[in-house]
Amino acid sequence: MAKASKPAREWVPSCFLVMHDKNVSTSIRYSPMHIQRADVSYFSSIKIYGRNPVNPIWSADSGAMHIDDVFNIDSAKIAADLGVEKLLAYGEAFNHTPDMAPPTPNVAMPVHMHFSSTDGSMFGHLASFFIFGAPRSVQRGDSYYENFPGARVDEDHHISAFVINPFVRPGRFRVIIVDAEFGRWESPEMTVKGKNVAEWTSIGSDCPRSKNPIGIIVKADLKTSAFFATRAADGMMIGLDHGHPFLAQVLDHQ
Amino acid sequence: MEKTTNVQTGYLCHCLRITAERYEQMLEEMACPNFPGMKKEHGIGSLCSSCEYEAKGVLQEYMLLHPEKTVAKAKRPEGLREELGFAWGEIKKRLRPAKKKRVLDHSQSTGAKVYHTGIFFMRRDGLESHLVVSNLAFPEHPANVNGASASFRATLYGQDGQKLSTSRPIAVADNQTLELSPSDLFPDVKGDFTGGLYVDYQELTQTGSLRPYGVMVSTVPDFRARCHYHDKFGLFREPGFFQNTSPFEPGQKCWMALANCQPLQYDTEVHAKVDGRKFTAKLSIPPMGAAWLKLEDLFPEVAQVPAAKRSPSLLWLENPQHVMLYFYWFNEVSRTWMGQHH
Repeated sequence: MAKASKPAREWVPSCFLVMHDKNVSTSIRYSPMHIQRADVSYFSSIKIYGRNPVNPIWSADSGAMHIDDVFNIDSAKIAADLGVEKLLAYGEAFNHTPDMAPPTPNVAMPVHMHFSSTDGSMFGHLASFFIFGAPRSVQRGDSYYENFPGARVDEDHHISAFVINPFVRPGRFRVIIVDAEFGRWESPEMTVKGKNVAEWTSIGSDCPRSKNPIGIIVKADLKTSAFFATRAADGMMIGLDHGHPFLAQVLDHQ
Repeated sequence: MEKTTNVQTGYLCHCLRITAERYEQMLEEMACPNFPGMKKEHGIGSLCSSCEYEAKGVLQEYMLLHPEKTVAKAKRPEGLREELGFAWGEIKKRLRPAKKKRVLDHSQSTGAKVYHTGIFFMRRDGLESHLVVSNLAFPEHPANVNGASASFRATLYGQDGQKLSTSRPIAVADNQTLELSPSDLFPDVKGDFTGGLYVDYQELTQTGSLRPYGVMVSTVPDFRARCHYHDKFGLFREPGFFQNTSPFEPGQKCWMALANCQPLQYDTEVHAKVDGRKFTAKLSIPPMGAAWLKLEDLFPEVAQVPAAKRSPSLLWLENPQHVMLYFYWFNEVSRTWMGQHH
């Protein structure tokens, strides 16, 4: 009797944001150090998308990499190749090895984006986001939700939510602010185009200011990812991190 | 003429006019849903392929919720011996999903689970960690599944792994967000410390939004920080190495923050590959201990490499025993901080 087997795991891409202008730059870096196998070759393929979510406007391939190599792409190079001075673009990284299947259910090897700026407006370090392949049980309903705790919107702090859409269909999203005292505030509905990034910011928004730390939720009709920037009143970025989906299980990492 | 894709329509698969709802129905109908099978049976993703990621994402979520559909039903064998083997296999299969289902049901209804979490936590050098937690009801649930409040205790361990203090029980009410400083949590702990904070929730039904974050804030006017970083508690071994591809950026100083969340010593070699040269340092963290290290101090030899050639470089820790590891960068021009886990 032939034994039925589980489908083999395959490497999958992850997605990220690239920002560039005269003050801001992004370094996109991949190291295969995520996997403890020095005896195989690794490859990275980076694609940057513009208005057309089906065809990338820029791409680069690493060639064969050893475990302690770093594939580095600077946003200045992308902008120069494209002949533009500013970039706020969606990117995709397909990091893989043809020599082995993913050893764990985490089937994406991420890149890291290191954001720097000469004026302090952008300063952060983030891993790229799973498009699919994260082995966790997410609570969902008619929409998808991500949350971020302990944000501050007051005279000293602004918050921005970046929503990243890895699919080609445009999606809609809202930012929801929750506080035990004032209750719940919802932004107007916004659109994030296919393979693109949208930003909501508390600056200029009629969202409530609060002396309390607040909970932020991004509600989206597609399975987007969200990350959050904290800026001081003078526009300096003093924090950048990703949110989490509502998790249906009680996490157990023991 | 440019080919139409699902960019212009609401279909998950434009080419075959498959809506998201119809796709979920197809998953229901398939005994062992998988993408090649969906492609073969329904053609999804076989034409312009623009729906592939979304289709695979929805499929993966569906499979997490339906583990019993992971393995295809085996063909019924012929012969007594094979027949008996097949029957036993089927009994085992039936028992397995039942066990899994019980676990799922347990987390979804009885609310009897303890949730162990942890973050790096310190107060020194003009910086202070705060604990933040939000207890938000899932927006489409009629009420918070964790009830009117969720409660936890936080325990602080110091640099050498000694227990410094345990907080009083703390309740975070439905829709409330708490931000708690070391003084709020541990009024008995005075002065500077470097350590790990362990937040243990009692009787949770779901993690929901309760995964704790730390926020590193500045306590002096010389610089500013409000850097979120989240729970990384775990007792497993990593499949890869902890690594950092931006350890020596121009105009930025990088610190490594490490809390050993296991009752085992953490001994490791730390390697840095800078401009093709490899540097090595050793690091020992006692069980439940912690460290806050400036990478320049860990690798003083890197100063010999011209500044312009220090980026990109690579830093990694050789020991895959899981620890709670974060990196923080200080921007010397804007005098701001940022942080991230790795």
